[in-house]
Amino acid sequence: MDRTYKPPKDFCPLCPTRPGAFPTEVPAEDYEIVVFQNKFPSLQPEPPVPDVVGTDISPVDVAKGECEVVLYSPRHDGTLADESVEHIRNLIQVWKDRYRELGSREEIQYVLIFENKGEAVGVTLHHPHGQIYAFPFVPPVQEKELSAIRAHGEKTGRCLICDIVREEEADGSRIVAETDSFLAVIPFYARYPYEVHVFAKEHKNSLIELDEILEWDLARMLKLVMVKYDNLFGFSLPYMMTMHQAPTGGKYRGEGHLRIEFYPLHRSANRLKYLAGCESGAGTFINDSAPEAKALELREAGPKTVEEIDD
Amino acid sequence: MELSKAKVPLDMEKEKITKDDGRYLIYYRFGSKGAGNIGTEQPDEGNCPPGEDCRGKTTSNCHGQSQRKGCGNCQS
Repeated sequence: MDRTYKPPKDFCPLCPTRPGAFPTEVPAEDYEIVVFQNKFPSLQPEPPVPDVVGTDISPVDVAKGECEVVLYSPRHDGTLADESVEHIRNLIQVWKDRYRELGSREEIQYVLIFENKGEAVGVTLHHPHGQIYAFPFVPPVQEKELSAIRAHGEKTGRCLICDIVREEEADGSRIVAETDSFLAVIPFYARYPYEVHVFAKEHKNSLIELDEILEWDLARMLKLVMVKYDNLFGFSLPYMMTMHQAPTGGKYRGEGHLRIEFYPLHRSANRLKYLAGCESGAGTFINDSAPEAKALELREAGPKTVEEIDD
Repeated sequence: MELSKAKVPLDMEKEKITKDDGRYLIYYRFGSKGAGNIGTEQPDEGNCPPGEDCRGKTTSNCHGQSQRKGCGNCQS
């Protein structure tokens, strides 16, 4: 596929279309936040018929769904961490709207909101943006986690993630930051050294259940975590960010517990964590750092609390 | 919650267009850049202390129940 690969700033397809300049994806001179259908979608509403015939062992199906691009800002340079808390709260409203609209489609079972940031994770367009994949199935990572949540619920009558939050709060050693409604921790089961999960403290299935107070609180927490990353490393830290919410279809519809997970690949400023033999060949992550130690580093990195961040 | 009936925030305007190649694109606009009511949520009656900026702050200063940017006497 002829995908755009690291274009120079003047030819960024995600910038606004300037007068007299080449037409970008956005036919306007300015914008706040924009969402559009991906030009190179893995899933689409009217997918082509597969060009191979499946078998019992290797079944094929049409790639029905939706792939969207979310432009965070008209400014080419910068990252989500540079945006104001108010702008991040606006983005949360956009995410909420996309989750609602895409999840309302009959064929959609899971709406995955995510961001790949930085060349270390393979980004080819530097303009600040995220993506949304609306799947016609519940992806395997979510399937496994939802199965565990349900099993725990059947055994204890409680939400597994709520119990994890209570356990992390009680222990405290893996907490990175805390607000009234959200808890950021490097969980006991972290795969990457600086993997931070932002949990809703109270049980919330999805963004839909956040009122304005919680939207603002989440915006401050997300900014805090991202700024801490950048300050600790001394540069804009690449990461993958995924939002875990309740499926909108399938057997786990409506189940789950809202959280945002960050997976930075860096082990240190100049070393990356690779998915090598054990991770790729055995599905077993080797993390040679203690989450408690990495959480302490991030906890000590400024700003220490949401009160210290600039709006 | 029934997703199709979920509320869209009041202070957000949404304009959906179709691009030349048939793909859709949505502009989201907020607050001072031309927000309109596209949802079903009803506004709170602003009751903030004059000059108080209630954004993201405690509820005690604003409405008693929820915060809304740009309402009543709040700064936007």
